[in-house]
Amino acid sequence: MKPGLDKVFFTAYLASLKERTRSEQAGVKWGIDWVVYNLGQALYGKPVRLPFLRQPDPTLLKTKTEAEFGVDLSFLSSDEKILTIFALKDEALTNKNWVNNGFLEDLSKAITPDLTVPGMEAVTAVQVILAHNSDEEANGVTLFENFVKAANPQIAGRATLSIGRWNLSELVDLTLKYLLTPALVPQQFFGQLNYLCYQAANFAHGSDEWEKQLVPAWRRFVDDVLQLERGVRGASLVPVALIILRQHAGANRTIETGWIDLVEWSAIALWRQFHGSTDAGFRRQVNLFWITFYLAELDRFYRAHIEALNTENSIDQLAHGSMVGTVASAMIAHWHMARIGLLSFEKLQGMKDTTPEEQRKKYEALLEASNWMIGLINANDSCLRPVLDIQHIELVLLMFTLFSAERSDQFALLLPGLVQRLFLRRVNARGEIPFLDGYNNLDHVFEQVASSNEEILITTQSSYYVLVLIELACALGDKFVSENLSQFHRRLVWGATDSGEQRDLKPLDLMSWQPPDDWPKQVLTGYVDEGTAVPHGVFSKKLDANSEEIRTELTRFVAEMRKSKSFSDEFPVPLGPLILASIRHRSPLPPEIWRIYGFPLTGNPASPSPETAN
Amino acid sequence: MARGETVERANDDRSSIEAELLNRPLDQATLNGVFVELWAELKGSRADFAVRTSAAFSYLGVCDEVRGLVGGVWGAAFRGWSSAEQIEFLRLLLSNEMVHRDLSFEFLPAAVPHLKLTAQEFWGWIGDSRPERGGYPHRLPEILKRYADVKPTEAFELADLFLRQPAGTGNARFVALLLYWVRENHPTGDIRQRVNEFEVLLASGPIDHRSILLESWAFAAGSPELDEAKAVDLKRRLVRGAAEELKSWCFLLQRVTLNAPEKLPWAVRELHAVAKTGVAGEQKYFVVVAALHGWLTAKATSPVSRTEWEALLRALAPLKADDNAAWDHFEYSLVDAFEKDAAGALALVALVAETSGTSWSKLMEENPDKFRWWCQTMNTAGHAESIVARLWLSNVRAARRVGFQIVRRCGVNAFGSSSIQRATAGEIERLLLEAAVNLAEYEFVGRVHLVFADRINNLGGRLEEWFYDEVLTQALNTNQYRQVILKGAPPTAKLHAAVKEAEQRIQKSEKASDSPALRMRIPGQTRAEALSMRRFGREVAKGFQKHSIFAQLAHTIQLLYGKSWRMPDATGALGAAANLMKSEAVTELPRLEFMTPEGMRHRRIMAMRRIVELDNGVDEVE
Repeated sequence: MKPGLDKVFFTAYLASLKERTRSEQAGVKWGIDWVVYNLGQALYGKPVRLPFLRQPDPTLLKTKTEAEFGVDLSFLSSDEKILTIFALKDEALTNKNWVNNGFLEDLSKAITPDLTVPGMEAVTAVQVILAHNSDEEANGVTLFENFVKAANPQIAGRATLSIGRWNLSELVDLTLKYLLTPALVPQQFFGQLNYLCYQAANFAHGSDEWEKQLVPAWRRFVDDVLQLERGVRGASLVPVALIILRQHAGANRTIETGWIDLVEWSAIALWRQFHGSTDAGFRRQVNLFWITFYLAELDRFYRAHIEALNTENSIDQLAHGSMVGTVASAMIAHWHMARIGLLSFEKLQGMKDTTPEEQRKKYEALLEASNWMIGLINANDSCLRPVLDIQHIELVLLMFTLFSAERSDQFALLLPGLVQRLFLRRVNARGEIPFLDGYNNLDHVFEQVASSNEEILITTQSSYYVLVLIELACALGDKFVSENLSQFHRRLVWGATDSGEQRDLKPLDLMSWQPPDDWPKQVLTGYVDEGTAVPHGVFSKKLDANSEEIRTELTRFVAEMRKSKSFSDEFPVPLGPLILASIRHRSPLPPEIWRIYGFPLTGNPASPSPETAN
Repeated sequence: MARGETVERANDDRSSIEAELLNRPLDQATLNGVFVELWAELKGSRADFAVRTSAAFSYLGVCDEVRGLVGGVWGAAFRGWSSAEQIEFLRLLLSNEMVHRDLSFEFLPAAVPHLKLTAQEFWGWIGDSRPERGGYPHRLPEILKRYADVKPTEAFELADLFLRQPAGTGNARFVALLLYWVRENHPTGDIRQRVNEFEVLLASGPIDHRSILLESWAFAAGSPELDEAKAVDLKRRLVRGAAEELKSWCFLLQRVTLNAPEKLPWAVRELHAVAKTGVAGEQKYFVVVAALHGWLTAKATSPVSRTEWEALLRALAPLKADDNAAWDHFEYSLVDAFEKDAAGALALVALVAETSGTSWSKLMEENPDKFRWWCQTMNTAGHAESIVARLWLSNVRAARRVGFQIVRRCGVNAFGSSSIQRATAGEIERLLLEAAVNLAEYEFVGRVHLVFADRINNLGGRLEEWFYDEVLTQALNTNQYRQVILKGAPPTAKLHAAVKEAEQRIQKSEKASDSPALRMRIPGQTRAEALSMRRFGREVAKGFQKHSIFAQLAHTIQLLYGKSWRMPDATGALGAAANLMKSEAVTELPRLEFMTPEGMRHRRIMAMRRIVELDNGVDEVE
């Protein structure tokens, strides 16, 4: 991940912790004590005083604590000569808090430990550390320094005294240095995360083990965290756990993409909770995670690897002499297309463009993403080999990427090639690579290509993908439409050649979809099974129907759909995460997301799109 | 005297006996004398007589003189024996105790004229001769001919008995032969009258009978009696549309072509008429044989020119891949043709390749034995280069494909002085497109490219640009191709450069593919790969079984357990244990066919479209 980002998220996490871990009726409060306890063990030896989770008395609202005499934690060095005492505070070190929140009192008690108790006989040095995970003010720091100067440097005439302070930055630095392990997370998640780290280190991304063991376990882990702590602390722990896991799985050759996989599942879980949360802190933290963690990681990832991805046949090469590999390389290509597209979409949505400078920067960012996308496609034929109907999402993202960079001409160049390739598969239904699988079942596709079954396992009678493709073509302007739409319809829908030859193929049933009203909520939860399928059949029963006839019928169809059900684009969650959730849950995108380009709501189709082709 | 002693003595005396046999004509008295002496020596045992005389080839060698001697001795015996004794002797020849029973039929033709058997008695023996061997003795036609020669009346009865047998066991052919022999021997008189009556009966009978009648006339192809009028009359009366009748008619025409050059003008006219109706199977075979014979024997003074025979071959086209007999005959004829007239034979090859090339190339591709002999002969004789050049530059796609198959067999690499070096840009492009579209042997595509590289460099222009793009694609596709080019003889510097560029690009792709961004797996991929590999393994094993001569010859025993094996030898004792041998098949999978299957398919479609354009002369128009 990007250098320095880990610090941001560790800071957020540590800052969100309470002074002590305790279980309350409202839920578990995670404390800084657990972090310092583990740091102390790493740095200062065996613990003398433990930060046990205080079990609540069911009759009490707050945990009853024992008398601490200013000592929250203490450690004895292995030679038993140095005693380290921690005084923990989750309040800011300010003038006001120095007395009101017990800084002075706790430190005063801490510097006078009883060295006569058994086990302390050999102690010759005592160091007291004030560890606080909140802000500090100059006055507070001065008070602390004055306190240090005034303190007696000798304890009981036999031990020296030194006083130190760990503020939040120090805590973060030490944690990153010594505590990047599952031990950092609250105790009840230690075992879970520990095992997840093991799995991430040993399973290949995308392998059966990864998909069937690690991913479900990770999603359960994130859900458990967010269930137990619904506020900022939960949202802050997720990226910390991801960073720890990444650290442990560093030797896994597939972790680069595997980690993005887990980050995405985490993001979807966070946005799901975001949807119903009114906690401003939590919502802010989710946004931070999305932008600064996920999108920033995607950006870093593609900057690091785009050269390889844009190398000729780098993805195609993965076919390794088998049609199974051909399908796999297509899936990998679409994986990258989806993420570059999403990144571009989020730049379009998220970057400011109020000033000319901001506009320039935004355009450059969008142009860069479009270059990545075009480079990827030009280098790899696999990008033009969709396998599943659900990969219409990648097609839409491709369109968004190119349109937002004012490169619709490139989209116009790509579409005929894509149609040509799909056409070859459409007319050769028993060929090595089957046509789009309408059931989005990759296992079926693999079985088909691996066994070369005479009997086709895949039903492709209905297609949303083809309808989406035709609708997107309508966004490319009158000239493109008139030159291509008829051919697209004839080739893909009818499976007929330009000279009108058609084998024993039934025409495709073009299929659209109206999402349910709570589509955002449902898609963040899983595959959206609801909504309304809207089949249309073909747009013309004539093989030689001209493009205008087809567009007229399509326009009428779109208008009818809009009339029957309105679609609100006021989502409670940004569209980017919803698109990501659609990709991950293999759930269709609502058509109104792209129809605005080809079928503006004013009712006139083919009004020139921002950058019409040709 | 014991049998062993006889053999010993016979061997000692063999050379003198042979000399005696060869130098002295065997007259009736001598043969009688031999029989009497032998009969006495064997003490009148017919069984010993049968055994001893049947073994004559062993003592005296295999030659017609021995056949005549033993047959004559048997004839001398038959003259003194009754019908019952003759039957007994003939049955002895069929008995299992006869060591040389198959050879004994070699002697019978000379003895048959002396048989006293009626048709019914003789039929009984003929019938018995079959089950013993599953088919009639191979000398039966000759035996029957001799019988018919001396007993024409009985021959009719015999023919009638054959006619009553089920069809399809060769019985019909014997009827036709008997009829032919009797007809030939008796141009007039009572017997001929009976022949005519028999013919009328056959002509009014079912299809099989009409076919027999036609066939009997086919055997009379050289006879003056079978003139044009007779043939036309036979066709009018007997060929009524049934396949069997048409087959016999084709057989008749083939026999006429082969045996009666003076009848060719009307024969070839009738062959053309037949070809127009659309013949298949055996009918086509007879016409093909006739046409090839006509072509091979045609001279400037012949009544039917080669052009007419070529027209007939064209009319018969296309031969199908399963017309095996016709293709085999074509192969033999071609060898003959190239010996006699290489230039003319070349035209014949082109003709068949252009009219039946699809089947021809398929046949050669799928069956390594077909045309192997011819290809070897052509290679040795130095004709291969000119054949390939002629076919490669043909305007017919099918012929060009046959050219590829011949190159595969003959290994032609150099075309220094041939017309190849004068080929036009369009012809070269068309041929190279054909190679790319049709050949799965990438090494061979490389060889074709090497042949034309120099010429293309000289021609330059769009062809050169297209060619090096094709070279690059092929080089990116397979290592086989790259190796052939890299090992190719100069001047191939530009080709080498293209291949080197491809190698660099492949290396770059492979390095990029190792990127951490591309190491992920796809769910289900591992299982599918295992399934795919199992299928691939099965297909390779099937291919190995199909193409390995060893695997085809050897009986396959599946060894269920253990890692070595031992077999019992002839004495039943177990031999030493042998380790299992491994059979391996190595094949290269073309990269691009998997990396961009749609792209490669599109490329093939475009290539085919371009071939059609070039065949239609688009470039010339331009």
